[in-house]
Amino acid sequence: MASTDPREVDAADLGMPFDPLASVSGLAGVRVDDVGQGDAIVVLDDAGNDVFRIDYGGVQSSPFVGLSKTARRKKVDRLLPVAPGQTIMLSHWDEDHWASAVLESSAVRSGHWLVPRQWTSPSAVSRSAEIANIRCIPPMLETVPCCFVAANGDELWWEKLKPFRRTPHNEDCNRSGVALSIVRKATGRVIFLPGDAPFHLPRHYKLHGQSGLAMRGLVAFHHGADTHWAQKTHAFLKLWGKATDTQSVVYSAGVVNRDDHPKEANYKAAFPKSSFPKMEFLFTRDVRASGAAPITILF
Amino acid sequence: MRTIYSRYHRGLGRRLEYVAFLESRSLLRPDRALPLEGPQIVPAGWSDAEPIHLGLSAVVRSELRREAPPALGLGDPRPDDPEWRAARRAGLQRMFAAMPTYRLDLYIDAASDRVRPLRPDFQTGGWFYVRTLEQDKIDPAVALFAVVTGPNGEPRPAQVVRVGRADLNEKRALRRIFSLDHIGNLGDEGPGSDPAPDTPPSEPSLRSRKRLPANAVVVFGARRRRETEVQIELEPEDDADAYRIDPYSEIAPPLSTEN
Repeated sequence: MASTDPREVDAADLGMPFDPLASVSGLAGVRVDDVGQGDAIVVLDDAGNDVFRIDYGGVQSSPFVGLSKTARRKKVDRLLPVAPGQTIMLSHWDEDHWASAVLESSAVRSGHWLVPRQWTSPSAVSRSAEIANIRCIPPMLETVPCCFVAANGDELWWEKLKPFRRTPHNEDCNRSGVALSIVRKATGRVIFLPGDAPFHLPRHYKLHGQSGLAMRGLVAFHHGADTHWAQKTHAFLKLWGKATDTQSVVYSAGVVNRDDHPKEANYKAAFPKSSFPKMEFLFTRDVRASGAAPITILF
Repeated sequence: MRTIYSRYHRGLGRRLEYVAFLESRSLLRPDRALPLEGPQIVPAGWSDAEPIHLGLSAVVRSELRREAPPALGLGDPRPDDPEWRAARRAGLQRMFAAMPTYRLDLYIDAASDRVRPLRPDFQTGGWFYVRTLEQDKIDPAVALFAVVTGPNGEPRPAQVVRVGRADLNEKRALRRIFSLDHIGNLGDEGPGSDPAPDTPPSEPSLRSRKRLPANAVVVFGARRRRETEVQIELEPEDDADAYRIDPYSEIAPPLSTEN
């Protein structure tokens, strides 16, 4: 019977020498930027530098609404800086995950975007045509767990959950997009970054479980929505929650949002205070309101 | 197209028909005035049930008919051709420069008998035609209304005159226009990076031949990691010397200055 143990394939052997974490010493964790309703997550190196971005969103309650085009672009560049050549990975093409990529911003001019191929909207197509450097995840890598490796062996995992199909069927891009995670090898801990996909879908999350990793934290999927919430979702949280460890749940949602994100009851039921005294729940909406420091999950 | 909703509205106002992609769909709390941001259009309790919100990205239908063919041409897409992709990208930029995108937020009174049957039609990823009549005031008795936000970011209330669902052929045609075919895949070359004339043709890329095993995990930086691991195995040098056997130690006695 064929082995089911993971079998490592070198991306360079597939004609993909892309190596965005080659000069990154190690992965210290993530910062979850406040963009209102949406996601904009930054992976940090051991010195606290921004080294990789995941999504660049923000619609309702974003800090950029109501500004002129020029003022908006300047504020985006200031609050969500993108160094030339920095990789930006898009989880999926819903507007709340790319809306801050305004025209002429650093993200559009000089970010290196890696995106899923999906059926998407006129506004998404329009914006994608303006991004100077953009590539899609190739078909061969769809549904395959992949990882970028830092110099010390820390890993940034990603996985396009479903293949792109040129059929007339509708596509739920929340569930066919990209889910990510980062692993600190020295301590065997993981931070889950599922985008809008429910936790039970990514195969590589199961691999992490088989590898015996422990969870440091997660960004709640779909801004803490109860969409796609299933028994398997609850089972995932039950598997990874640990009463003795400091763990973080971050909700990336706007102060005002139509869908009343997050639905805290789901996570509180999974992690009751009495059983998980070290579990912390953090809200990006509190950053502007209280003037607090940006939210981070650090190993 | 199949009309799934229509209602006559009196009055003056700009009439526009949009071609719209349904991006999101959700249920709202019934105890809130709508919309949540910007000027209120209907009061709290407008719907006895949870109102349905549909988020759509749209273009004006007449502008699409006018701008898409000259900008994008009528030929079949060739997404594997880097020059086609570059031309397509330029065409999209020209098209969108003349044809802005809009945000349509539709609010539906789910308790209304008139619109309840529509719920199955509104699947995310679907394409719709939405005809609107922009008016400052919306009758709260309507079962469906819209907020249109244009490129300037200013939301405007609108009556919904008609909603049609694109049929299969229309959907295919719209997907040919609004696709990501202008984007190459990771590992693809862009235009201008063709090999020099005297370069022998490259072998078919490994990626075009290789099928990954079912349990594959693709590592970017695998070679670098292996080289680092080998280096670590060779270190530290001090320990290696301590345990290395000197082949001459048993043959010649050590030199001594005390003889």
